[in-house]
Amino acid sequence: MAALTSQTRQLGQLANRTARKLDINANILRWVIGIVPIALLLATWQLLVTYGDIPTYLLPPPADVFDTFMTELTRGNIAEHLGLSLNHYLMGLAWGIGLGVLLGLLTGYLAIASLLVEPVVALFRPIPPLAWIPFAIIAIGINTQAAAFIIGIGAFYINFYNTLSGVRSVDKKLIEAARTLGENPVGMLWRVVIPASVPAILTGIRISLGQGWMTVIAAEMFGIRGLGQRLMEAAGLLAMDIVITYMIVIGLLHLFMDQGFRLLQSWVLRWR
Amino acid sequence: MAYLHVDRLSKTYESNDQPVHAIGNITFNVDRGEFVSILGPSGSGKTTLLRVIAGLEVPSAGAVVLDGKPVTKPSPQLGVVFQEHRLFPWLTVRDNVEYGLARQGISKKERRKASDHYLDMVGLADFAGQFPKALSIGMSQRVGIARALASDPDVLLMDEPFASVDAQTRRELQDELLDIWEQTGKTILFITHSVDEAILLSGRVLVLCKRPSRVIRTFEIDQPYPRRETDIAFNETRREILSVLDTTRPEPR
Repeated sequence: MAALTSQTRQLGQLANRTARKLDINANILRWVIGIVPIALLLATWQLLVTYGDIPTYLLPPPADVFDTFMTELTRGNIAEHLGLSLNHYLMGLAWGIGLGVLLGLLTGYLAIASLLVEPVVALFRPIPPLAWIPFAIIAIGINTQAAAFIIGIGAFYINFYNTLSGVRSVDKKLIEAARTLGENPVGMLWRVVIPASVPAILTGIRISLGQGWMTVIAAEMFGIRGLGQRLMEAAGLLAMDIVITYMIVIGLLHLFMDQGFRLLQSWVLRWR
Repeated sequence: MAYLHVDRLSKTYESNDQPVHAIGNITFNVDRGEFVSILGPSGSGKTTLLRVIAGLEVPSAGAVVLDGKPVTKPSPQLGVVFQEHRLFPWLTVRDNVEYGLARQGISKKERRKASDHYLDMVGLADFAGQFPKALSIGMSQRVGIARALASDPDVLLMDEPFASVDAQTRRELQDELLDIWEQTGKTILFITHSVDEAILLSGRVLVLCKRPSRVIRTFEIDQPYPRRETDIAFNETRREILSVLDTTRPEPR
């Protein structure tokens, strides 16, 4: 993580230096450089279609995919499936994050909660969220609740363990300082332990936003209506243009959400 | 009866299954409005002593009595300034200073008045809206002092508060502390390992020996303030204290 940050910083300095030499805005330069690999990818794709002798049902040209994208968009197919998926996603994350953070806080703060909760969580932890899909389908059915259940499972573990480690690494010196200022145990949790754990909690939420999106698509591939189900439907029709369209939709959506959350995160943690 | 009475206090704690006798047997009194320093070599249990007096640790034997009432847990009557500033990084400077007052249910208006007053006293009124990350160590320590004072404690306990700042800033902070003492008339118990700092600040210096620690000598310092290290009387006191500290050293083999 630290190495990655320092690498990013070095690249940023490189961009700044180059921009100064060429007398252009560093942000524009970074943007232009970022576009290059994407353009290369599209060009390679087009070249493969034109000269690669690959049938179009395996690799449709970019222009066709763009047309399909526009058709799916104007017909409301994207909006409809996106709406369904977001519903699963948000419901699942809501309970997974909510329960994970809550239990993580209690488990980290109260010794008795730790004795009760930790062994149970550790017992179920090795079962991957996707392994719960058959269980959910039989127990709940092929419906919204089942999808939300599966998504929430994955989010739960991530948020539970991140919150727990956040609470356990709260600086004991700050807790002591609060005690000398007359803080009570409930206020200690609310005004010291939770604020000090917020960075770890937000990291957990951000990871679960990514993993949750993955689980949504996987759960829907079993027939629960949404983007994943539309993707599988297109695969059944060998409609590669639709498949690629929805892959792009899924990718873009997560990109936007992640960037949005990053902004929120840096605003909440502006004291750091 | 003295204002703050430390009565036959001793403290033994377990460390790696080895009992450590931090405090042997310490008894002393502090009168209201006095500035008393506890001076000792490292490993003399100075910090442990302060923590017990603050109610952060339970003594193995003996008691701490403040104004006739035994101290068993931290209370707003005992303000603590730690060696590190220990400000809450997620709160602004103002909210840090008002923290203790808010816990006592003081109204927002009154808190605001108090934080303005004490931030002004430590010269940081302009930084009220900043987060602690914007402050230098010396400034953070000033906010720590303002935070401890804001609750209007009966006694201010200070654990080597100026040990981690540079020499220049330390002198400033020492002068400021004396001003604050003069303005507020607080009772101050000040832990330090610096002989000069103890003489510069306090009316009385208690010298501790290595653990299990006891008070081996008490020095009354009646030189007028402001004191300077270059004064003849200052140097005389320094020589006496150092000769006592020398006796705490283990015999050369």
